[in-house]
Amino acid sequence: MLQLAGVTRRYGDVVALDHLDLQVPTGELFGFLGPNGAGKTTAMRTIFGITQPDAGSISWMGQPITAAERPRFGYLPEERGLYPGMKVADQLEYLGRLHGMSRADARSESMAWLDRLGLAGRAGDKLETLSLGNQQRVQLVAALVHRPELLVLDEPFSGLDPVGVETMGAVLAERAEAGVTVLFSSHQLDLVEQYCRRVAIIDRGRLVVEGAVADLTVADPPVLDIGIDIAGAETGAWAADLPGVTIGEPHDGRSRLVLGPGADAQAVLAAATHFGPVRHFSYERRRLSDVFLAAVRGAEVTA
Amino acid sequence: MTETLRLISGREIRERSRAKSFRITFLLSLLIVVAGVVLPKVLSGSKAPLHIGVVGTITPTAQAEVEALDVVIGRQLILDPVSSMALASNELRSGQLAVVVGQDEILVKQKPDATDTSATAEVATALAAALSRIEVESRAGLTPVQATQINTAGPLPIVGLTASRDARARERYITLTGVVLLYAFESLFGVWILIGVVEEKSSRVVEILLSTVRPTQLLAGKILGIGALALAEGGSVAAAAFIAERVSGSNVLRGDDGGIVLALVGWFLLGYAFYSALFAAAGSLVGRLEEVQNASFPVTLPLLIAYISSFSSLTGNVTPLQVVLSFLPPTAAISMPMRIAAGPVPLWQVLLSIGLLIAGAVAALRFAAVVYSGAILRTGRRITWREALQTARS
Repeated sequence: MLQLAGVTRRYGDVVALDHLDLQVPTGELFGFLGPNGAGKTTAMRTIFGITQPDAGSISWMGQPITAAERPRFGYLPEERGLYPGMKVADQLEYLGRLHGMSRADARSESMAWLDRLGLAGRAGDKLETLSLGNQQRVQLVAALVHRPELLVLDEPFSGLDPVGVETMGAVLAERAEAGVTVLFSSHQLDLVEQYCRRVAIIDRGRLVVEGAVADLTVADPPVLDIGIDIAGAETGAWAADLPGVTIGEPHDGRSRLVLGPGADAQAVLAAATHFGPVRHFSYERRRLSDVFLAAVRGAEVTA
Repeated sequence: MTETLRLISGREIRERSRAKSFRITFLLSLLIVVAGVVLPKVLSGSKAPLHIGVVGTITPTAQAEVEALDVVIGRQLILDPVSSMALASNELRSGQLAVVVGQDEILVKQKPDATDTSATAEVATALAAALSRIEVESRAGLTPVQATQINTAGPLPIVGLTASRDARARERYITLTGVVLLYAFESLFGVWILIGVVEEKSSRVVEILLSTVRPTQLLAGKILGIGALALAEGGSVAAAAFIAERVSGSNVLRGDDGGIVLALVGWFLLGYAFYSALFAAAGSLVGRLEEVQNASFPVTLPLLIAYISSFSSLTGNVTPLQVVLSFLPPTAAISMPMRIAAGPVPLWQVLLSIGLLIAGAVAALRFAAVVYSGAILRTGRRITWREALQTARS
């Protein structure tokens, strides 16, 4: 597990990170969200010691991170960059070796990734001769070549075409599947919703929301969406007597019930089956972007 | 730690030496140095022989004496028999003959004065002396052995407390060449460092590098790598010069100059340690290659001052300014070797200068590490030295 506890970083009067707490479970694809200037990049840089926090601690697997751990981490910075005039395979090998690999191992792992991303034929070319999309692929390999245990990617999907997005998503999901802890930031919330099990939203350097996507996207208060195969059931009148339940506007021929304090979803389900054959029973979902906007606006109000 | 440094400096050496611009400057400096050694020999070797007309007969002793003169004059001498003095005069006028040996006189086109150092004048003077001497020797009835003994009696050696003006001038010439090379190398390889730093910053690859190595490691690896390259290039140039000398038989350099070359290498290393750090720091402040000129100016300025002020000591006069400059770390690596070449410098002064330079280099490296760490990740507009120091401190 990657853990940031009370991490604070100031630049003069500007507070970039304000007692930021973050826990990224091992082997998960974790979405790191926040508006521009919220402190995402600064937080990621503190993990690599590129930026030193003024206060707080950062640990990996329960141990404070030192220079000895960092070669086992992979980083894709927001501002992409490799050596433009260096050959693709040469610089991947160099970066692999800087992370402690042997020459042969770094070379073969680079070639395996280049092969997988369809770039095996370009290994001997200078990076600057590749198309922008292919340079992005090489950049991804640069973060992966040394088989990192922790992968931190700053806006990995930005600037990618749909094919690139697909490739990036597949590679990240597969890495997480293989046990790698993957933390990435993104403004493309639909992609985050698609790939991540958990997310954290930060604003002005503070954590404002953290949790499983499945939990966060449940409407607050929760709304049940129930379809019963009986004419007139959509009005929801059948649930009028249930405690804590408020009947909402029907939608799409189904009833919508808002669950207030004391409401019991199981009791609602029982009442529905009692009333007639239930063909649909689900929680109404918010989109992650709604969660995001609510969290960030809420912070603005309280600030 | 050492493995990381090795990797970083190894990359610098590999990538820089592959660059076309490096290869071109390397070949050019080889060419210039070899040409400087070989050309004087080639040019002197190509001088046309001097024709010497002989009217009447000449004794074998005299002929041998005349033929031996070519070594002294440095030009081939050819003896042409001429039937009459009238004909010889015509050929002198037309330039076919340089000197004519008559029965009791030496004939030239224009009578040379005492300060004339032309080959013709030298040959004429030498012939006049030699032939008259041979004549006297034969009239005195000396045996050839006695004659040789008299002729080969050399003067007693004269020992000076300091080397002759000629030797000093030569030493100064070599040091001057060395100082020009020192200046060229300090600024050339300093700018290599600067460009390397700017390249990593402007391409943003530095953020990936810094995710696994410390800024000081990156800085040190770069300085070591490019320094090794500078030494290799300097070594090759020096080796090429010595080889060219051996092969061509030129005497521009002499065996005893190895010490001077070694001392210059030492001064280069000290100066390089000082300047490479500052060039790297300057590079970390700018985000684009276009700004390199502006960024490097404050660093190249003291180097330039030391270089230009060095020329005044060519005459052997050391100005008070140069004495001061020879102790200041930014200028010592150029000014002190030049002072040493101009005249004797007390050992304690040399040691003090070296000590100050080492201390200055250590301070420069520390200062550069702080500036570099503070500035290397800050993109956008060019940042000032002050801002970089503040960032690093916070």
